[in-house]
Amino acid sequence: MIEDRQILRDIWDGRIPVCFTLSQDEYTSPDQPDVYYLLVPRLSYFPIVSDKVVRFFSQYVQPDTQGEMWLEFQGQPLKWHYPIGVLYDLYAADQDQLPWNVIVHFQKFPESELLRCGSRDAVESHFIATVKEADALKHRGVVMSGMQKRDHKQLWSGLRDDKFEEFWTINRRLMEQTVENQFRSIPFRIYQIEQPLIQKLFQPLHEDGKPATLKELLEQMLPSVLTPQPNNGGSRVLIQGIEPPLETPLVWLSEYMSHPDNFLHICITSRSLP
Amino acid sequence: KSVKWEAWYRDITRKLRERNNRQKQPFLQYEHAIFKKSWVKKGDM
Repeated sequence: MIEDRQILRDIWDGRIPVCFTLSQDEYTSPDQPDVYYLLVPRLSYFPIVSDKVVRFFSQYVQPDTQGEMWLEFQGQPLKWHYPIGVLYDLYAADQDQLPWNVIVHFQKFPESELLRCGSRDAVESHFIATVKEADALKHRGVVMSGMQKRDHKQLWSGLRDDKFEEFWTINRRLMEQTVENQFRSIPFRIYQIEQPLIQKLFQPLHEDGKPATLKELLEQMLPSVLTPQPNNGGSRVLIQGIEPPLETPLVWLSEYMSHPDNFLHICITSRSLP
Repeated sequence: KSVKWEAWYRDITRKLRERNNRQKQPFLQYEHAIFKKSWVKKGDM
């Protein structure tokens, strides 16, 4: 049962300062365009927050060469359908340099690496489909299918407009558990650089009713994470930009530290040697 | 027993505060990506 609003609020209020720079081979003006600074919600998606960025940089590119905007960080195209905080934790958190310097492109869309977005409607469709998938894992999909269309819309608009109360009024139903109706599986995704993401079934409770921990999930899904490697400093396990203790119960993490899409997004990165 | 007495809980709350202090507070003067509208729909948690 969701009771601890302060944790939810601290997670909801997470922000990342981003410095957007237009790719240097894409502007036509003689002077280099200014950069554009924006404070973006960790839980959001780039297409929701980048209208202003598109408008700002459009003045510097020829209209006939302006295609769909896409973003890059150090040569890595950024997937619009991953939450912004996940992209930062996966690719940039280790460098710990803020603001996060992201390159803006309007040309040469990397078709083989990114899905096209097209419009905010695509983000909404992706978001609701992911919430449904998470609900299928937790409750066989009965919560989402029992909601009205306007409830789905409110989940989306709460996220889109950064309205905590509006979102959680509906989302609490997806997080509720009773003795008879526990989460059947934990919706999680594990990300590593240049590796396919890991998503499998994982039950939150052992047969004796004891809650499974983050450590037990990693032991089953990616045991190498827990083994220090001699040639590096080992791995970092980041959820919502922090390293939770490995003994944290997974069901608690799912209830409190999932993204609005109801998935627990876990980023595995290398720990830098001191 | 409340989870608030658990060491892992205290560690997570501390780290979340530190995260927001490091990643958000020094940059509050930046333009915010989402402006709050005046109309707010309230609901019970």
